[in-house]
Amino acid sequence: MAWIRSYSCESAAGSGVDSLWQALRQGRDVSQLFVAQSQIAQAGSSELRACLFQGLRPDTSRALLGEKMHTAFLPVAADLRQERPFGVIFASTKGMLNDFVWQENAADVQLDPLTPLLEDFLQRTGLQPVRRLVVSNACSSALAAMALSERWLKQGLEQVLIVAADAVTPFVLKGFQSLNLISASGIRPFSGDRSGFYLGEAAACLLLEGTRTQNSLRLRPVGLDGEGSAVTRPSVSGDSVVRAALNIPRLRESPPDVVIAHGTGTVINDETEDLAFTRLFGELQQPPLITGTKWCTGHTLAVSGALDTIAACEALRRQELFHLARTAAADAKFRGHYAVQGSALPSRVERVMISSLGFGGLHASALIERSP
Amino acid sequence: MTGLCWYREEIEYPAKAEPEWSSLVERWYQLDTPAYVLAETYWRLRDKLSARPEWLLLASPGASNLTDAQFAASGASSPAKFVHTLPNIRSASLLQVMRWSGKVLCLQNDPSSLLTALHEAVWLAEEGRVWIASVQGRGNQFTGQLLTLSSNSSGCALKIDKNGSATRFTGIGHDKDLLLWINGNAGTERPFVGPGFTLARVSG
Repeated sequence: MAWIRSYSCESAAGSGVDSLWQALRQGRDVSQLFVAQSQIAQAGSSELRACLFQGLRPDTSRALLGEKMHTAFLPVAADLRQERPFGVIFASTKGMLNDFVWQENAADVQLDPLTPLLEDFLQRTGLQPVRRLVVSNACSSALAAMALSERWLKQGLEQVLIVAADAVTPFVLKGFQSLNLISASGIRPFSGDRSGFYLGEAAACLLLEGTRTQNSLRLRPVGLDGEGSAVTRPSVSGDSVVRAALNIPRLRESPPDVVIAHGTGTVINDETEDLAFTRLFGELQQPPLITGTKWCTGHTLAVSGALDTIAACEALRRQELFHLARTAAADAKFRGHYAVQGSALPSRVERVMISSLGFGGLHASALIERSP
Repeated sequence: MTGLCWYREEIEYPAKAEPEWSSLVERWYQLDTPAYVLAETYWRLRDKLSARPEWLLLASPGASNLTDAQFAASGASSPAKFVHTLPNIRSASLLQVMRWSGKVLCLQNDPSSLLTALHEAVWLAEEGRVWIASVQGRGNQFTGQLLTLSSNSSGCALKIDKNGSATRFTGIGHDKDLLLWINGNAGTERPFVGPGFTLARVSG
């Protein structure tokens, strides 16, 4: 059993949790603020070597990301009891690789580009955790880090700080462009005319602990499932997504009121999730309402599960929800109950499930609930 | 006490012939080097690896640096290359060859990624059998490694004793020292896995 003590984030919505929440509630698509994204995505590789991203040179991505991680940490710093044994997990997919990947000797670099970011963070904050490492489970990294945190808490640590961050570098943009996953018209998860996603930069911190404190929210053991169906898509049957969810204890007996789906707006992701949620909850008299955050923030890769966790915690604390504000109507083939534009939102939220799907078939589900 | 079986295969890449497992992996010919090496490693060892894991830990020293550089050098336009620029992707082909699904964690902590995975695996072995998969190498010579940890140490040449409930992790050694020790290099000190942990060869 783990408890979520506090959290914070930096996203395209602005600094702090309130900014994210207000953007979600007001239906603002802040991902469109990344105007430079489309220009970068159109650039050739020779231009990318000298590319400016948000006014920064490529070799500053390490500093940029470090700044975001530190800013995201500050609001939770007061809740971290540094005199007691605690751990730090950094969740990321690509880290700072843009600093060296265009160099001729990049293939000879022997060390991973993620650990130095964690070391930067520890040095800057002065934190001295008794355990620390990087979890890189693609876009389910944050939830995978939560699963590992639960084990660390069971093993005797008092708190675990999860720091999730990813930089949207030209490398990443070009890559997703090559996969034809970048939408030209915005993210419309679960709609019939969905066409992919925008990418978004973000950093987030989650502070988990093993004992309940005032206002903490309960995290049931996180469900993980890795499958080998294919590299970039889940099995179309939804099997692995279902298995991950069913690894959450008592999911059937005590199901969620709300699901924050991965909801990338790609054809296959959304189909798979709809199928999986129907298999999980389709028989319920009152199936959970399905919503998501990526239409607002863009797909923030390893951070997306952390942002979804923060959105879930805020929904539980505020007893409010948010729509899939860019989705006018759900795909006619889908059977889930989606929070499309103008739909009624429940006035009471007790349990929220989060679903994360990662490249390589690494899927994760978490369920957060108000303390009984 | 946790039994540790350590399996290694030296694998040349690119392969000179289609692998025996090609029908099990979608577009096997598009795999990057670590993904190919891991799949081939498992295939060669499969008869020795009867019991399936509860957890699979992927330790990826150097992350996906090699493939990242190849993607950038090719003009950053190949989707087949890009998908392998996440260090966890190499587990997808391994899982396909294993015909297994379950809990997977991709861990990094260079220059101690393998030791870190070993440390985590000792704890996770309380839940059941744990496998660690890892690839190292350069040029066209690579080593695929599969480590299995379980409470049943029969048949394993190594063991890890966990004493007390120590949780302190800092001060862990480097992977290169662990590999030197495993390879039996004379004069190499036993690697430091963590306070409360002792890595030893099983005598006899």
